[in-house]
Amino acid sequence: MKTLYSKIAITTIVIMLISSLLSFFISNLYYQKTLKPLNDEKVTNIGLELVAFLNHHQQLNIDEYLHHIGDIGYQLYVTDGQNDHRFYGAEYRETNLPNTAVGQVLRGDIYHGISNFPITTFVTGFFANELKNSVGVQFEHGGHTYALFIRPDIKLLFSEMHIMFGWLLFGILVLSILFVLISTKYIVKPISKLNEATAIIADGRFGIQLNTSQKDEIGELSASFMKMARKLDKANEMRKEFISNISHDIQSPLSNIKGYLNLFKKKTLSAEERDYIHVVEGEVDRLSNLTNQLLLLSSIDTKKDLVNRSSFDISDQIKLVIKQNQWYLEEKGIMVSYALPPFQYTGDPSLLYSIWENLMTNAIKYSDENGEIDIRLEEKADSVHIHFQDDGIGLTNAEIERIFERLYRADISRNRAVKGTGLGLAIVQSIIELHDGKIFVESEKTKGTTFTIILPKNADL
Amino acid sequence: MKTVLIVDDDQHVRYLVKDLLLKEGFRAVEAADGNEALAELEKRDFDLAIADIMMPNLDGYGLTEQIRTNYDIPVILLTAKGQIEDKEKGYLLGTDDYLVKPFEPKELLFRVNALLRRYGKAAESSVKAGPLFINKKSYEVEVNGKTYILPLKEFDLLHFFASRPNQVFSRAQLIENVWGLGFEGDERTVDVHIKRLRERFTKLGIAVSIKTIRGVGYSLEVN
Repeated sequence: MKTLYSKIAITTIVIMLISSLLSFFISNLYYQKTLKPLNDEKVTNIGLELVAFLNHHQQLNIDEYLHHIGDIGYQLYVTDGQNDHRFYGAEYRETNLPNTAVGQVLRGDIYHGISNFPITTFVTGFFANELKNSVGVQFEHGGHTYALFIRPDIKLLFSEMHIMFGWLLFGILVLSILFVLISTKYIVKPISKLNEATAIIADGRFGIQLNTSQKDEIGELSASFMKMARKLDKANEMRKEFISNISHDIQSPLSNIKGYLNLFKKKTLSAEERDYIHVVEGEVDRLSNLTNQLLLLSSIDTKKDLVNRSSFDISDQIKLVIKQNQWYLEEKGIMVSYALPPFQYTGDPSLLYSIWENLMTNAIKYSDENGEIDIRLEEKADSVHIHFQDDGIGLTNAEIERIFERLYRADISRNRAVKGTGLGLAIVQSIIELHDGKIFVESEKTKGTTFTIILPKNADL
Repeated sequence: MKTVLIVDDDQHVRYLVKDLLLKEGFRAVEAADGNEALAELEKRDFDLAIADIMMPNLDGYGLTEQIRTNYDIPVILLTAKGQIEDKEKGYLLGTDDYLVKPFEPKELLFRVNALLRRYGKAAESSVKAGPLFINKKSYEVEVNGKTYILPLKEFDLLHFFASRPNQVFSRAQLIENVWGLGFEGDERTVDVHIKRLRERFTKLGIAVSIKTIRGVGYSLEVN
């Protein structure tokens, strides 16, 4: 899981663990170098006091006395270096002593087991309940020389403290990990929100709302992000308006040229003049179509991922296209049949509308007089199929391969008779690709053509 | 005589449309924007309005809205704005038809006539004939969950037959009732339309047929 959240959380926890280890290592070093000799000195003083007392009170029952000392918190070992071994107080976990230690003490030297306890990286030795981790001093009693090894009974003296420090450490670790997990979530949340917002904008929906109340870099980022989204929205609106206006500005004069040409036709004209007018009229139509389709193409090319998505009924759109084309159908005596159950789809309505418009005008253009056009919408498990079927002139296989090319037009010999720009199907294909759909063509010469469009069903956004 | 209101800020367009309508026997009144149009609507009765969208003062959308609330006449938006958003907005505000410039004069006439036909004869009923449901309001035929839009005369012919099943009609009667008295073609036209209807029925496999009664005419038979 490579989320920002897990990265921050794991990094912080690892840092915490490493710094705990490091700080223990350093404090251990400090203990070994500075505190351990002090501890040794302290215990040595206690040992010396003890033997001074023993040496001074020769009548004392040392067994009884040392028993008593053991009971108040010391671990003692007394030996004469031969057969006499006596232990008082809590037991040593290990009764190990360097071979020379007893002899050394009997000779009158002091054994500094605590300060000489071996240095280990992660063990202080403070709690090591071993005989060698003690201080040895000599005393005399009843004419015999004894060696006394002493260390404080740490377990008895510090047991509660020991447990408390354990809990403290455990608490620090567990709680800080827990708080890191929670606080990271809180820090990462606005970033996740921003991330979601970019995905929404990429989808062409600019009306995002982000929380900009946060007074830090993320709050500023959210604010400038929203500013950017609004500007994008405005630019997108301006582009749409521009396309709409330019198309209006070009189509209006074309419309007038066409209309006034028509007035000419009513006058008595020679066949030749009539022909000229017919040619001019055809060119006006072509120019008008070309303008429309070039604008559409340019808008598709600049759009790519920036589709304006919204939810609408595909069937309603297709019915509107049929209605808009009723006159052309009537002119050729074409019957349209359709089965268009309601189907809610999320996509770019104006782009999809131009698909149906293109397929419909193609079907009419290439249909025979009194032909038939059948339009069906079928809902499948995870897609929707839309068929446009005509019984017109049809296409050869070679033609099918090329019909989606820009500016290609089937049936060259009829080029003049059938109006068109050769852009229609290229546009249709681009739009379908923008919606992750597919288009299939089935055709037989003179039998007709069926275009099938498959659009994946999408979750309502 | 039907009167049409032409609203456009481009006087050339107004002239064209007016010329077209006058030649077809309509009366036509011009207005240069939405406000002028509303003033004209106050003054007299109209049967239909043809309006541009982009106009100063009150635009075509606003005008359509006003007509929809205050007058019971059909509206055709005749505009160079050809995008689906514009069309949707137009239909949403209550226009009855939407025609994009540059337009075919014949197409405009076709739509004007279609709208006047539909508005005038709201009383004319839809009929059922066997599996066929012939919807006079939408000019559509419904069969087995599918909808068919027939060419106008074929539809009228079918509707006429279906309204009077098993009745026999002569070609002359059919021409008078379906094409109207002003029709200038001959009786062959009836034969051609009936042939086409038959072909369409056969293709669809519908249990409705038009019988030829020798020497008399035709009748619709529901099997």
